Amino acid sequence: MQELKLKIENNRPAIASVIEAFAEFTEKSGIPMSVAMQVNLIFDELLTNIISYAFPDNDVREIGIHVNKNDQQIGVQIVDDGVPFNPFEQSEVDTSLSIDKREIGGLGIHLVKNVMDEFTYERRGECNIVSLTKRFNN
Amino acid sequence: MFEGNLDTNTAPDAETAINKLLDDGARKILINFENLNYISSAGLRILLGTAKKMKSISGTLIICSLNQTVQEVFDISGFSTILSLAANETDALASF
Repeated sequence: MQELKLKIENNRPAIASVIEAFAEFTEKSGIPMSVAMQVNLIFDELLTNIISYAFPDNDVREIGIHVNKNDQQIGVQIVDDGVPFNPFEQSEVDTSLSIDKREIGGLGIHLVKNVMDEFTYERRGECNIVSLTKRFNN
Repeated sequence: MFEGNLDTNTAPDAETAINKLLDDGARKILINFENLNYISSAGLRILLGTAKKMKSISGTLIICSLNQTVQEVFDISGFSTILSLAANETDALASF
C-alpha cells in the first residue's frame, strides 16, 4: 500500500498544492489517469466546501489529507477541526432542468457522490472526517 | 482553448476571458477542451452562466473535444443535455 499525507491551510490557492502533490503521487504509484482526474475533482469540490463553510471565524486553520492506495482501490480522507459540517447533507440537485432553470448550488457534492464508489462523513470529537473510496476497474 | 484544469482557482480567469469575448460582441463561441484535464463545479458554473447569456442574445455556444473524465462530469451533472457538445473542432464548426 502507498500513502500520501498532507496538511494545508484553509485558503483556495492551497488546493492547487494538493493537486500538485497528488499528481506526483499518481505517477509514482501508478494510478490510472481517469481515476486521478476524478480524485482531483473531489479534492477541488470538498476542499472548497470546507474552506467556505467549516471556519466561520476566518482564522488560519489546517486541513489534513490522507491518501492510501493498494491494487484494488484508492482511499481519501479529509479532516478538519471546523464547525460540524457534513458536505453530503445538501439538498438533491435536479439535473433535468433546462438552461434557464438550472442553478449551480449543490452540484459539486452531486458530482462527488456520483464519481466515488463510497463516501462517508463522521464527526469525531472536534473534527469533521470525510472518507471516500474509488475502486480501479479492470 | 482551455488547458489544464477548470476548477475553483482557475475558473475566475476563464470567466474574465469569456466575458471579454461577450463584451466584444461575440455571438458564436467555440470552447475547445482538447487540453483540459478536468472540470469542477466552479468551471461548470462559468459555462452555465455563459450559456444563459448566449441564450439571451440568441447566440451559439459549442464545447468540443471533451476527454472521458470531463464527459463523465457533463453527463452526471446533466450538462451534456443542456449544452451543445461536439466531438472535435471540425464537427463543432460545422454545427454553427
